[in-house]
Amino acid sequence: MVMNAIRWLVFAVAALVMNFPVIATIVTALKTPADVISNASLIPRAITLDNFAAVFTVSERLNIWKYLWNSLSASLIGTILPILLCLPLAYAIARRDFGRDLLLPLVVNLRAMPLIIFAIPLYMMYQTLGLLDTRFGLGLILAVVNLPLALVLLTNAVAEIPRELDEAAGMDGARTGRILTRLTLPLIRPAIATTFVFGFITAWNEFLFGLMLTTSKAVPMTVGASFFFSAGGGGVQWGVAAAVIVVASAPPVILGLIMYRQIGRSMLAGAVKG
Amino acid sequence: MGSIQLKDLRKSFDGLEIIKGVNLEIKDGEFMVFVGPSGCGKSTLLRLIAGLEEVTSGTIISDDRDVTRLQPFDRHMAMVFQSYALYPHMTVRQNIEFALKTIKLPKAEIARKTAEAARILKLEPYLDRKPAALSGGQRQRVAIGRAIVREPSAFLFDEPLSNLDAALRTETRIEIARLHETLSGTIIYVTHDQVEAMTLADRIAVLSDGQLMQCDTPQMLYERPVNRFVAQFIGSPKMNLLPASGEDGKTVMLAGGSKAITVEGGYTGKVAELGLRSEHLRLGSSMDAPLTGTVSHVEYLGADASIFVTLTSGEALNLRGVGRELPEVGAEVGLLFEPSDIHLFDADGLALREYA
Repeated sequence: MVMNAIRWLVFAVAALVMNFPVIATIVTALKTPADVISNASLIPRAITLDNFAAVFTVSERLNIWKYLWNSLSASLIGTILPILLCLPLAYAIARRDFGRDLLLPLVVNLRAMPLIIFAIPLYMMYQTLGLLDTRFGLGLILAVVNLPLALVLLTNAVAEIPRELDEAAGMDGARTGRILTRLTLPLIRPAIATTFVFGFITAWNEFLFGLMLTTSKAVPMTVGASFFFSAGGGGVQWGVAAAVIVVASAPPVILGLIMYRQIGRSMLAGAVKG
Repeated sequence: MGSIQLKDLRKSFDGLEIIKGVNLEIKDGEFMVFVGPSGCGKSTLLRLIAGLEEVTSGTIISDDRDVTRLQPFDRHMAMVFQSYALYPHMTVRQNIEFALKTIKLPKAEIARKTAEAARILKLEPYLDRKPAALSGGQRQRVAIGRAIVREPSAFLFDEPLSNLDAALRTETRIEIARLHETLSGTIIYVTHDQVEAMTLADRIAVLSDGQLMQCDTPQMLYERPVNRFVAQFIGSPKMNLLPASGEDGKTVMLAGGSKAITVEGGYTGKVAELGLRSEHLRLGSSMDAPLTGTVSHVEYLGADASIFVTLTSGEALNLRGVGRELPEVGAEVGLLFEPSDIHLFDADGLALREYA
């Protein structure tokens, strides 16, 4: 009984410590400006939603809806494109041994490079191509960032499907296209979900390329959020800044919660004798 | 129609020859079993016929059509995999329908064929279940159902019973035999289990090390094996082999024996070994028997018993005894046999006896 109570206490303290930045941000967003300055406690004297309202009205220049839309569209491009590109490649690597020795390690090692290396050549390329400050341009580079992870996850998922299933489908008259769409695709759905969630979170939270490649039209939420810190003129408005961070963080968190059950599941039960 | 001919079929993996020139003719409607120890190439041979492996050289003829380079589906054969290979995300019905939908048959025909297959295989109550919710035997039947809806010219079975427990195996074996009668299609069936081979087959092809040793009816394989490998592989327990000599074509002498054995029908070649199946040996008094020894071990099996005898010459033999008349371990016994039951092999293991 006492042991149990101690155990829960430890859990509670651990949860509090680990989530402290999140809790502090949410609490700050709910405090009045005076409260932020004078009261360091995690318990606000009065709860207000003014900061959240201010996020949407604080300045004519800053349109949070636009930043959210920019982030959403660029992140979706940056997540879906690598999945589409990697699906056939994953099948070719897993089933035909295409590029397993060279292409796969090469692409995966791409991820190990500091992304800043791409900055200068990319900027010059984008300038020539007219991709600077476009959602599509930002989405493209996010796709490059997400490609290695997508390839590894999808290749492993395809490799896990017993080869006999492909063979059985082949005996049943299915060509590669039908095997890919009717068999492989439904069976690796959990891996696609995982790739999507992790890819989306990475893309949404990306800051460097957003800062570098956009100026006004395609500014993503991460970069846009930083504008709010001094939006009201004068000093930093901590309450508004905290509120904008909460709004900016919400989409990937909600996505993660919705897709949580899909991640890591297996579709293969009953395929072959287990 | 479903005749299949293999002509000098060869298959190498990375320069290593796995199938070393197999010639075989499978007749329409025949139940052919490929049997052999693991690694003999029987499954590879089946996969070559199915089109799942590319032939290195040689020809596969199906119904007078060269199918050697055709895609699996275009060979009009259906396969039942050892692991069943059911599509796990589809229901039983969708599994069975998959091939028919692939060739875009009219809906009514798909429904009719699926219902028919489900009826034959007693799968009707399970049509809307997923494979994960089925027992091993039911999954097996779905795999068979997937094959029969296609009405193929030949069914290929790759060790289909090896994942089932003993009781279910016997039951499913009988079902497969019955299915063969119902469908009257050609079946090629791979197994390492000689009981399955003997009970199911019209003819058995015994393979060893990528080569066809003998292909004949179960009776002929048992009675007249062409070499020592087949003699020892077919029949349980293994055939006893004793050193022997003889080259006159009429009589042989056991090593250390005193009396020549007259061989009915004669033989050709130089005898090195004499083979006797355990069920063709009888216990007798040690006085007048051609073989004598001591009982070293007895395995009681109920109706039968397996009796192990160490001969005076040092060789070990086993024979089938009657469960109710067990000899004592250590007893001196004589072993009797009919000269007509002996098998003779030369030093290379080739069978030498001539049969009328």
